[in-house]
Amino acid sequence: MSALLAIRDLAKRHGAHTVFEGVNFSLAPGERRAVLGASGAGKSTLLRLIAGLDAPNAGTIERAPGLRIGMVFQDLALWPNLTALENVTLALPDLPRAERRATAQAALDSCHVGELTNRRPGTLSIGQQQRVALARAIVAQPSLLLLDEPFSSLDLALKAELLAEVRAQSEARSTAVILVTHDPCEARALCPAALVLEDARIIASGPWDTLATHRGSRLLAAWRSAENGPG
Amino acid sequence: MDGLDAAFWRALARSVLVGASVAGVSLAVGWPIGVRAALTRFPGRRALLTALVLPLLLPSFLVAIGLSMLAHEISGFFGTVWAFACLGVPLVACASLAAAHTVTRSQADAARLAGGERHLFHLTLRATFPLAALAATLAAALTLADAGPGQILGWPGAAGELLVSFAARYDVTLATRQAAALAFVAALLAWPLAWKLAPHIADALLARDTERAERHHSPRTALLLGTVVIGIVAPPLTGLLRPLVSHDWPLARAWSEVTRTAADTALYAVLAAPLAVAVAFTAAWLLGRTPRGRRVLVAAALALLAVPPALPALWLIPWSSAATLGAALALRGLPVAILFALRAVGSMPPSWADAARVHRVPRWQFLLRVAVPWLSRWAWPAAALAALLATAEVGTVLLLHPPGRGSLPLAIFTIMANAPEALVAMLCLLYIALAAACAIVLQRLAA
Repeated sequence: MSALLAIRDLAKRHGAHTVFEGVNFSLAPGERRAVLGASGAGKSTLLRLIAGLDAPNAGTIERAPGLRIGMVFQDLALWPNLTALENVTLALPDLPRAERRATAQAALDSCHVGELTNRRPGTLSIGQQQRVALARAIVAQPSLLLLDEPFSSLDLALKAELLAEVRAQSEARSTAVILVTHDPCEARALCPAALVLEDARIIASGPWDTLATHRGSRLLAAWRSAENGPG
Repeated sequence: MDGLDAAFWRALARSVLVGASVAGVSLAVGWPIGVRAALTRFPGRRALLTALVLPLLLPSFLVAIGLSMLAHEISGFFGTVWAFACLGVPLVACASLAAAHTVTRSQADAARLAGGERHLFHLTLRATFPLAALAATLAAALTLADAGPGQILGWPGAAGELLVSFAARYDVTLATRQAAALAFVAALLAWPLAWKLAPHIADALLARDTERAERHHSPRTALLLGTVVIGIVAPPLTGLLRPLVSHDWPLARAWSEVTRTAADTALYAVLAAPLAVAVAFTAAWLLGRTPRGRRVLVAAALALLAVPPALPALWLIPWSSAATLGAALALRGLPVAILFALRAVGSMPPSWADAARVHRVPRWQFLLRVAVPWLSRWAWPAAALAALLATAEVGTVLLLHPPGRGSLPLAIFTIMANAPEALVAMLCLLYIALAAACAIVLQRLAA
């Protein structure tokens, strides 16, 4: 398998409710892809299945052998009783102690929060917390980075700054990225291609110029209308 | 229910009557005052709330002794209801206060915009009713299982009959039957409600990220809460001081009784509290992360609180020792420890464990470095409360203590009929002083 990730006929149900079904897509190494959808469309559920945190009801997820995953959660999930450095070192369980510390410090440095090593998450600004969460996700040099709407509550300037940061990290390390979001503008800033999850299935997929001409998606229609402006 | 005579059923009827009255009084006074205290800020708020919590840390018979010493007219049904209400009102007030904290800032602002403070108060009253009603029912259930005030104030209930069976008649079989009957009635009254209201309590125990409602300045609440606190604390305290006015204070003799029993009192608390906390936190960790599991645990905790403590103790008599006594007393603190543990586990977002899993953090490292330090912030106050509840329990200690090694409350309970009033009052006051010190430490820990 040359793909990093291959998803076939994936379905997830909660009781009688079908979250989604018939989901198919694959991801190549270094590729960045957005998963778009309205709130409750099942985007985060899809990401949890890919991360191995949940099991699907049907279908398969084939992961490349030795695939290492890093993830930034919607609420960041930083452990509040640990310092920034400890949050990152804990994600490096396989390395010797001294090497672990140096690697974690390097990850924090690369995310521009190297000077906040001994601060706990509660004492950091939201932007600094996002960077520490990103450092934790990339410290083990994952080949796949999962982002579960981590930037949805940020102001535009900070959001743009962090998206540029993720893109730089992804390009520097050839890390594939899946960004889950309901905001096409945010998705477009990071990912050259996207898939749209609507009505419990993928209704559109491909690069942005293809999506721009797609008819039949409420989300894409709203995006086009917003892009064109009033009148 | 073979072997239970008419006297027992009459006593049970008296207990039910007292329980229903205590529930009514506690709800009528404790519910609105708890909600007002949650929604307002006023001078002396912290001190008044600490004073309100204090009676919850005392054995009920201490309050009854104080009332009986205040005036001989305080007796019978009226006196017993008064003594129990001194514990029921703070219980309902604290539950209402905690429930009112789940009203968010934006909800409060919307209510204030729609109809001012009065409207917010009424809406919060409605929102907190389930928890307040539950606390009132629990107060009633606790009166069923508690012999002290009824015995002291001349309105003996079913728990009093039980006490007589094992302490005076030495008839363990009869006492076991009576305890089972009492537990059945308590279960019949409390368990359905506990099960029905458990989801509301489980929700209230979950962490909330939203800001709390802004408190409106209200000196009037200080006046109301002050009146309630004085009404609860002053009569028994005045009663306990009364015999000391006309006598020399038997401080030396009382202190020697305290020091004689201190080591064993502390030992039983130290055995009971860690056990209660360990069981509670393990159960909360295993079950408390799903809505159904939380509901089961909350209902179990409330049901356990309604069981007469003597019931498990009666079964343990053949193995009576300090260790079995500690285990039986742990059952008394377990319900409170479970509520703390659920709050602790509820405050840990599931994403913390998910992040550990995705980033391949070994399970033991996550537990040791993240989960245990986080949960221990709740474990300490839970242990302190469990220890206090275990210390205040008399029936279990009476049944299971090794010869000559009773606790301080048991010492007070056994000498109160024969010792001079001044000595009994002095012992009670020393116990209250120790409990007050614990309440202040607890409040600091909670802060």
